[in-house]
Parts: sequence; C-alpha cells; structure tokens
Amino acid sequence: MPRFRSAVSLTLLITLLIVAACENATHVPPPSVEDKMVEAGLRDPNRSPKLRIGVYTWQRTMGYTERGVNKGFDVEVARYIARNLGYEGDDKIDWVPLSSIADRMKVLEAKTVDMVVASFSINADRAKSIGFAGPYLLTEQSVLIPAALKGRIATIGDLKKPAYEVCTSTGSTSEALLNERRIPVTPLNSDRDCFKGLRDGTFQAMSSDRTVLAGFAAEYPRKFELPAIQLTTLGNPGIEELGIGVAKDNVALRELIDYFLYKSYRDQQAGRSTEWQRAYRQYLSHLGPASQPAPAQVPDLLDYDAKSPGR
Amino acid sequence: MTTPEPRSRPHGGQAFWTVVVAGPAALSLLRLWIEAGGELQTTLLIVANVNTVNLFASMFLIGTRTVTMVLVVIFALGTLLGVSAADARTAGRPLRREPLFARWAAATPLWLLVATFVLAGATWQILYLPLLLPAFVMAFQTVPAYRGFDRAERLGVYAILLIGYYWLVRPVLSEDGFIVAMFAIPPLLASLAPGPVPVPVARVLARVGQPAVLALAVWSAVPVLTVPVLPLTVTTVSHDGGPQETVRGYVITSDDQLTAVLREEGGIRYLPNDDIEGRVLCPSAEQLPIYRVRVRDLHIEDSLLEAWGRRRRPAAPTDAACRTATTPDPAAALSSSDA
Repeated sequence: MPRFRSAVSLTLLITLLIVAACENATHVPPPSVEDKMVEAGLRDPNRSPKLRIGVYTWQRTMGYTERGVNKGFDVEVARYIARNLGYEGDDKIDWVPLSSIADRMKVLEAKTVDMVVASFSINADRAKSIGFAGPYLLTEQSVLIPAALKGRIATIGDLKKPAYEVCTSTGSTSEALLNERRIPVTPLNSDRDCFKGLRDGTFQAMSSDRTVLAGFAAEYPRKFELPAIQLTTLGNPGIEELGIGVAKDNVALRELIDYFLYKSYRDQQAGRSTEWQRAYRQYLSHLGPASQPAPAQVPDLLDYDAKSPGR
Repeated sequence: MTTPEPRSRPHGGQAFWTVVVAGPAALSLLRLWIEAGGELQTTLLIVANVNTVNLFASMFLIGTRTVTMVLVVIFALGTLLGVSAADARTAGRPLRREPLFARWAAATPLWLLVATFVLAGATWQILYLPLLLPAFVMAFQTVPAYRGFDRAERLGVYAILLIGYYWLVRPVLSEDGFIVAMFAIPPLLASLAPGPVPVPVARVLARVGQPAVLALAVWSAVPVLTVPVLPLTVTTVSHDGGPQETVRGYVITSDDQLTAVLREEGGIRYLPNDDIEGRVLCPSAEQLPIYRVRVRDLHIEDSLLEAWGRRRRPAAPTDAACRTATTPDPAAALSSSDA
C-alpha cells in the first residue's frame, strides 16, 4: 500500500509540474505601462519628439508664464505626468498656450495637443467629446470682489442687487450655480475677460473656481477679496473636479495618466512626500490644506515596481 | 604479454561533478554568443571586455534558481529510485542496474543536499516553494536523522508544520485555481511522497524519468542563456547642443574618448564621451510579473531573497529616461529610408 501511495503522490506532483509549466507559458498578465505607451501612440517613430500639452499662460497660480517659463499648479502636474511618460524637462515638452476655455476642447478635438492641463473641470457634457483623467484637484466655486466693496458684497442677497453686476465664463459650473441662485449674471468668453471687467469697474463681482480667483487676487495684492459667500445649493455642491483632458479615442493615454495620478495618490496615502503636495504648497497653500483626490478610474497596469511592498 | 587494462569510465559521481562544475562555466561563455546577437566581432568585443569573475558571478546569480531546481529533482528522484531499487532487490525482482540518479544521490554528501535545499528555498519563486516540501521529504528519506523518527512522530511534526503553513498562506487560498493548487497540494502530498514505489513504476522512472529530467535541465537552461549578462542602461547623448538622442543598451567598455554600447536591438554604438549627457540604469520587460498575487505582502513571483531585498529598499523609482522612446539608430534609419 505505501508503494502505491508514493506512486500516486509522485504522479500528482508530476501532473502539477506540467500544469505549472503550461500555466506559466499561457497565462496572460494584465497590460503593462509599456504596452499602453505603445497603444497610446507614444512609441510611434513618426510622432513629435515632444509631448504637446495645452496649458493656460495667464491664469495665476494654475497656469501662467513668468519670464518665458511656464509655471503654476497645473503646469507642475503636467510636468509630473510628462516625466512619467518619458518626457523629462521642458525641452521635451511643447507647451501649447490656450487663450480661452473653449480652446481646451478645440485643441483636443483637432488633436493639436496630446493633453490639456488647464483648470479643466470634468463634466458629463464635455466627456461626450473628450476623455478625462483624474480628478487631480477638487475646487469649490467662489466670488471675487474689489477690496473697496468688502463688507458691501457679503451675501447671496448682495449679489442680486441691481447695483452690482456679476460676471462669469460661459458654460462654467459657476454660471449654473448663479442661475440656480437667480443671480443676474453676464457670461463672457473667459475668466480673464471677467477679471479685466472687474478691474476696470464694468463688473463688481466675478465667480469661478476658487483656485482661479485666488490666482487673480495674487496678481494684484490687497486690491481684491474673496468673501465667504457660499454659492452651493442642495442639488449642486459646486465642487469642481479638475481633470486632464485627452482625445476621446486615446483611451490608453487616459489610462496612463490615471495610473500615474493614482501612483501619486497612493504615495500620499502611504505618507510619502509627493510632487502633487510640493506643487500645492508652492502655488495653492493660501487656499488651506488639501490632499490629492483619488482618480475616478484606475486601470490595472503592471509596472516595474509591481513587486515592491505595498503596491 | 599482458593486455593493458582498459581505462575505466568515470564513476557516476565524477561525471556528476564534471557536469555541475563545467556545465555552468561553459554555458556562461556560450551565452556571450547570444548576448552579441550572433555576431562574431561583437562576441569578441564582449569577451575582450567582460571581466571573467563578473561573468561567473552574474551566471551564478542568474543560474542558481535553475541549477538548484535540477539538483533538487535529481536528488529527490534519485533517492526515491535508490529506495525503490533496494526494495525491488529485497522482493527478488532487482532492477537491471542501479539507476544513474540513485547513484548520484547516494554519492551526494549530506552538506551538499542541505546546501542545495537552502539555496533553492532562498532563490525559488515563492509560488514554487511549496514543491520543495515533497521534494525535501523524498530526498531526505534515507538520512539517519529522518529515519530516527518513527511514523507517529513524523506525522505529529508534519501535522504541526501543516497547520502553521496553512495559517501562513491562508490569504492566497482565495485566489484562482492554479495558485491555490500550487500552494495547497504539494504540502499535502509531502506525507505520501517517501518511497519506495512499485517496481514497474521504478523501471519507468529509470527509463523515462531520468532522460526527461535531463531534457528539463537543458530546457530550463535556455532562459538562463538568454538573460542579459550586462546591466541595461539608457544613455542620453547630444552633439554640440543638438537634439537629444537616447541609446538603450548595455555598456561594454569605455575609454578616454569613446563608450561602446551594445544596443538592445543589436549592434555596437561608439558614443563620444563628450556627447554623453547622462546615463541611467533601467529595468527590463522580463522583470514584469505575470500575477498580482501576494502572500503576506510578498509577491509570489519573488524569491525570499528578492522579497527581503525589496522590504529593505522598498522604493525603486523608474527614471524618466527609461520610459523614453529609443531614438532610431542613424545608420539603421538611413538604410531603411534608402529601401
């Protein structure tokens, strides 16, 4: 009997070894980062040697230029993504300036950029035409007024007064919120136009993302204020999710960006210092403490650190 | 006049040691042909510049897993065949001759047996470690220390070890079928594994099993032959401030003026040192795992040594240059455009 037991045991072991060899040869692993690079067209020998990123060059704190150098929170996030895609340094990035909100959609649809990182809030309407990775930042809607009007414009009711004209950009979350609140509003093509009107006295208040307004205020210290007016309604929390725009059909690039955003998020959760945190401290610390949000769709990709602890 | 006594063929043990020592040494040289892409001049360049000690060291690092795998199988099967051959003799149905593996296993000193299993335990992927348990029982069944225990004592110790083992690997038991089978079945078979096996089975094992193991040894040596012998790097070069070029490959040698790089796709590039802006060490695609499974946060495709190393230095960032698309070789690009 023990002889047969040994023989059966040996047979089973040999079978297991054969199964292991077959499994090893036929098992299909999840796609790797490199696979997605190829799929996203980043390995195409005919493509531009630079990564083309659409950014604002006029939005203080988020995306602006200073002495010819692109700066801002969005720009730092873009640099982080670019580096992870293999484009390290500004000489490997083609910064495509965007002058208006509408430009962001146009350049992606025309495929004149690979991605847009420009205070681009994720919404269902836009997601019909382009792809969104992220969010990489949550921001609320706020109001900017001249410092001279501090105290006089302090509530929703004050904004409704005929004496004050409020501006916002067309199609923005702020416009929807102001309409819900029945606040008369003048929509313009961009926040920049609204801010110009605020400076020359055409408007007495403007509404947009808090990050954007804080940037405008930083351009003219002590000239403008951000009063604590809550625009949010029960049905609309007014929280903007800022994402990175990519062409609708380049799903692989969207997945890569989400993957690298998730890596940064994961590092932050593990208590490691991240470039997101450094960028936030440098450009947005005046908005109060914040942490990177988790991306909405995290792809299952294999990378070289897949075996590292905690990954 | 007496006829000279014919020279005796090397004893099985001698042949074994010849294979164990000379085999890896020959393989480590032969693999340079593959490394050079089959080009004679490139092979000669590598031979001229790769330090012999480094070559053997890299061979040892890469080949330990394969060599111990082959040795473990030989020792386990050899001991089982030895026990079975003795049993067949007792039963009056001796095998035609003592199986080769049985002679090798019998000639193996205990320290080598222990060292082989320790090395295997440290270098095998965690996924395959459970297979060591039945192999261990098979290979050590003739060792006096093992035989000193009676059956009840052995089963007692085995039961305790099994409980501890299943507590350790419990998280993996909810994974897919193959992973569960790899972790659950071998330890269960360990108690049934010691021989002897029936005489007909022993005969089949001796005739078919032994050549099959030798064939397995050759087959498993193939990956060892194709693993690069030099570290993979990406070198960034730019001539007179012109556009940057990235060269992915293996640095073979460097002198005052030039650095010779064996390109990943093949062929040697000589890069002027003054043009080199940077060089980074990069991981290769072969390092990517195929499973996502971990045991107690240790990846199942890591060996215990690798897992230990990763816990000691957990962050291994990949440099951006490693992700950069390789610039086509100017010469290759020219010839393809000509075509």
